[in-house]
Amino acid sequence: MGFWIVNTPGIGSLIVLTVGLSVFAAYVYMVRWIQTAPPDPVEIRAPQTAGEPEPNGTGGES
Amino acid sequence: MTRWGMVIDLDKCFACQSCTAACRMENNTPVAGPDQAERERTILWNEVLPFEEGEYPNVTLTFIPRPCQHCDNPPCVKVCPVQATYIDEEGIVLVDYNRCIGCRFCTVACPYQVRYFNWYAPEWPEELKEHLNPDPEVAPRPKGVVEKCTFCVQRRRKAREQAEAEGRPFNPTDFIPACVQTCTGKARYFGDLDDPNSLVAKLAKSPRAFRLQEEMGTEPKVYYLKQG
Amino acid sequence: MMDRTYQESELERTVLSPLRQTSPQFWLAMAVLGAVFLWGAVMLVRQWILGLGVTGLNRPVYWGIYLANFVFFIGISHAGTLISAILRVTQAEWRRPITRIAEAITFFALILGLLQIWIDMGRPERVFYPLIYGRFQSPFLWDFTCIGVYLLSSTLYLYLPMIPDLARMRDHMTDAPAWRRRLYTLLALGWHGSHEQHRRLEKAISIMAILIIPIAVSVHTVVSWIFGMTMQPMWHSTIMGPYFVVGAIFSGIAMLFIFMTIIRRAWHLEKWIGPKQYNYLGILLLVMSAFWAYFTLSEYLTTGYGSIIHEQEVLHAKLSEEYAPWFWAMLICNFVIPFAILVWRKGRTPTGTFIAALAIAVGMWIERFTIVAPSLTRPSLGFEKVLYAPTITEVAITAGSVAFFAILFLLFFKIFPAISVWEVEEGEAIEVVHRQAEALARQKAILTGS
Repeated sequence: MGFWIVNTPGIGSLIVLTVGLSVFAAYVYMVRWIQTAPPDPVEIRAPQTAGEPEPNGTGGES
Repeated sequence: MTRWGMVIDLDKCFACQSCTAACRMENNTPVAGPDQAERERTILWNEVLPFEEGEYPNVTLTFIPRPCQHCDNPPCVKVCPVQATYIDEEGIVLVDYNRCIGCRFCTVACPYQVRYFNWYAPEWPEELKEHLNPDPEVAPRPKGVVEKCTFCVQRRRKAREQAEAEGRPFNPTDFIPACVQTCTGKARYFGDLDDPNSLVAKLAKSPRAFRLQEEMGTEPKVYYLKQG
Repeated sequence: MMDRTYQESELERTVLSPLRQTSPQFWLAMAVLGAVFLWGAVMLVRQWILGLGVTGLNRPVYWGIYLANFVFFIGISHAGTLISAILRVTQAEWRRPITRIAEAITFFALILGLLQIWIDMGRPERVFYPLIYGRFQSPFLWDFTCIGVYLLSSTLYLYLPMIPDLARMRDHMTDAPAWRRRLYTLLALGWHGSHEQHRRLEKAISIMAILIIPIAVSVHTVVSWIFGMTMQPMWHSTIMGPYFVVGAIFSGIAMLFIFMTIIRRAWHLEKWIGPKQYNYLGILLLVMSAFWAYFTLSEYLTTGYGSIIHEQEVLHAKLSEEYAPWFWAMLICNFVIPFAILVWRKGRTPTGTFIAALAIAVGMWIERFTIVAPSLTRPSLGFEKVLYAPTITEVAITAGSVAFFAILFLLFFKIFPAISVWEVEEGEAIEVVHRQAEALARQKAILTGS
């Protein structure tokens, strides 16, 4: 009865793409989570280089 | 529903290979040439296989004509990643040449080696070219795809069209594949296995009847009648 | 605005120097590899134009060297994950200088593995059909799923530990060409290295290290199931999954030894990749060799003890007929040579392990080949015995693939550091703290007068 899931052409592609894209999304999220980590308190920081995501330290959604 | 099947009486078969030749002309399988033949690259949908048993001087040689077994549980269909090979509603296993990716998973999965691969683009000598079957359904296959015996589906289609034109219902006895038609010893029978009154259904129940590698559970629809 | 007072450590200087200047030997190696790669590429184009007839494949030997290459490359992709991940999870300190090399092998081996499937296809232009008409009952779809996830995961697993190094290069490699500085800036993702960011990175790496182990196991299991799910004699066996996984880890470690030794020599990293790594990893390789031999014995003894005709024929093809030279060479390369070298402490040196690893790399390729080809030459219908002799096309494409793999690997480490600088520094810091703690404990013991 569930045979159509494995037998229908296209469903297999859908499974591959769903698994692949959700894993990809999860990994992008993970990278973003690292990227948006707040910097240390300002007084002990050296001048920032370019590419800082958020100027203030409130970012990060952990 | 019709369930097409074939019975081959090995007592009547004398390995003349006319079935092989007829199949080639009907289905436009390309000429491999001696060089490619030596490298096991011939495409013969209906091969007559020799089985040698014993050692000299006590040798028996059995010939078994082997079309596609059109399994009810075909291993080739299971492994195809894109459903380029499929079993139609009347139990015939077919290949969609426009879909096939040429991965050859089906050819290694088939325990009967009935599936053939187009190693090169098909070629014919000039003299043979004009005798190609013009039916578009058997148009030469391009290189890189798998092909195999279809129980002559193009003949089934034509028979259906004719029955429709004559305004009568299609009857399973309306068509036979080229190999059955040509068989010199009249060793081949073809018809509907689901019709208990058909000749093939009766012969399939004969005590002499067997199928190749039944233990694989592939449920072939080609039956053989034992020799002797 | 750059910090001009910045002083590079010895580690940094050594690791980054191959990124700054290129020796003539490097260009020579590149030229040779490039020529081999070009040879393979030309033969591949020729195969596409003429058809797969240019290979030695036939009926019923429909699969040959390309499939063996596929299994082999996917196998060596287990170098990175299994080693790097397992060592990370178990906190093996000596892993630090070699994880990046291992992870890079994984990434490029996966790409080469997938390429082999494409090379083997009769209709290469239909390569995306499985993503349009894919049928999940086919084990190929399982492979696409698992290898896809593995490729994504190992890319991330290679990338994450590289971020702090990339940031460092962004900030301090002011002498690099502009395009490379842009690349470092882009990939460094604005890393500022705050405590919180470090914590998040470490956490992400730990998650990936654990996650990637089952993914890697799944990959080689489903690769084996391409064969195991058919009813071909000696393919249709339940041992295939675990046997392939063990072989994959085994060949992966061997590949790590080969590339680690080459990079160590060419990039002058002897100070960091040293006796400790060779000794410990050598023991691991020895254990895997024993595991592999055990699996091989289980498989062949079980088959040989029984009397199933079709399996016997394949077994005889391997043990005493045309595949016998391959089979016995495989046993010597995978068990006799490595065991004889690695069992001794004195054998687990760079030279000793390099020889053992080369033997294993060859032996494991033969293992893949003797799994793929012999079963097909003895079809169960048993009407004929067909031989398979690979052609020059297959040899060229295989050589070209290996060359391509080496090119990608070497180029990668001309742009990115071969050793994870921050992780090695972290390891050194941990060691210092350890020593201080020990000294403190000693002091305390003296003070309390025990």
